[in-house]
Amino acid sequence: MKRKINRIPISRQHFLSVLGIALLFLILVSIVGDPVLIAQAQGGQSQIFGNRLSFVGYWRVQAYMTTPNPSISYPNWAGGPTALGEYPNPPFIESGPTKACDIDCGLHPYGAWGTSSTGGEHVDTTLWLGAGGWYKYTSWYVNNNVWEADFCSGSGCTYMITGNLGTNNLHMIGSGGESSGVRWGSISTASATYKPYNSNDWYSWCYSSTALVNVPGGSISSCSNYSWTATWQ
Amino acid sequence: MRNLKFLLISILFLVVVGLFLVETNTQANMLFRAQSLMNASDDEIQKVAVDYTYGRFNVLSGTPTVLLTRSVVKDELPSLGLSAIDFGGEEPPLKLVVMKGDFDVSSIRRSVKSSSPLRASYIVYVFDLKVGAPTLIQYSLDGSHFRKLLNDPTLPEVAPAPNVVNEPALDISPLTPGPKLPYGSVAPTVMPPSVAP
Repeated sequence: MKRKINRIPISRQHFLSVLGIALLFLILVSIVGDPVLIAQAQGGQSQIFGNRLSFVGYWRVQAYMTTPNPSISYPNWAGGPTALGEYPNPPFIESGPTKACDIDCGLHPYGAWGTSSTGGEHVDTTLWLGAGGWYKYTSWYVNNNVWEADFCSGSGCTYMITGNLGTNNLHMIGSGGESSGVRWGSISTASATYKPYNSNDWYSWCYSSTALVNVPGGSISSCSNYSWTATWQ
Repeated sequence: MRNLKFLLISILFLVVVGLFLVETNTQANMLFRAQSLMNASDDEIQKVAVDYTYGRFNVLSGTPTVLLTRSVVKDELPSLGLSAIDFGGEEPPLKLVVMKGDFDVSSIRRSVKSSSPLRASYIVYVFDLKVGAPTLIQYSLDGSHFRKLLNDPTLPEVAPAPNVVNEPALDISPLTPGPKLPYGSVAPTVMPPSVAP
């Protein structure tokens, strides 16, 4: 006895439409399912800074910062700079804590600098930071357009990196959180101080403007006692 | 029956394409894993440098080439035209690798707002051989900054800064140098005055 097969009345166009939608869905899932690719595809970094602009300029910035320890994976990194620069453009110099999953996923101090045509970053792979621990970061003008980024712990200080920024004066200082596009949790800045251009005097500072870039749902606390927290949970 | 066959072929096609996409993405992110290079040959270190480049940065066109691989100590770096760096721990064995290619190094740490690629033709890595990954990365748009390092007179010279001022710094380094800690130590914290009890 022959079994009767019920034909489903679906046209070839129907199939092609479903196939197209399914393919599109697959491509989307393959990209969205991997946050690493999202970060790379956007080609930009995530930033929450508290900044202060001065027309006179700056020679030095310093702050204590906590060390974030988010759950991230290769090749991402997260951390936060205390920086001098011409934000949002180069040049800049900065140092801060970083969770470096682009290297060994360790918590390390780092220093970085850049101009419009060159730059660099140094992650001190020989030294680890305590998760949540406070450390001090300084960037300052040395001479001959060379600037230096430093790190200090309870056992003393070391320089992270030097760079020729092609200028002896920078007009923006800032401190906050930054990453390759991944959430870093919270990072706090405290006892923020600066030295103006051509001056040897220290001043405490609160930020006067903020920059929140590519951080949906991210926030920065108000400044209290020259301290603030950049959060992206 | 014909439609059923068509459906099965479509599903098979989707599965194959899906697996291909997942595999491609996984490969792109699995190229580099930090592991000790203490006993690695120059060829092996060069391969790691290439893998790191593909994993960390975007290669915009062509295939990167390795121009130079050599041992180095940190105190040599400024004389080669590179940044001065220091370590809080004991200095590890270092290996310098110079790469040429068409790179987008946007994912380097930098306090700059930019959505466009940060292009570079040259990348210099200084590998910490103990950790097996770069501790210093420098890049140059046109190679002029690595003219001395590569001893290549065909590279352009660095454009002079518009306002070179040779005034002395007003005061000396803010650093209070500390002793070198053993490699891999956790640095003791230092509380800010405003937070300390």
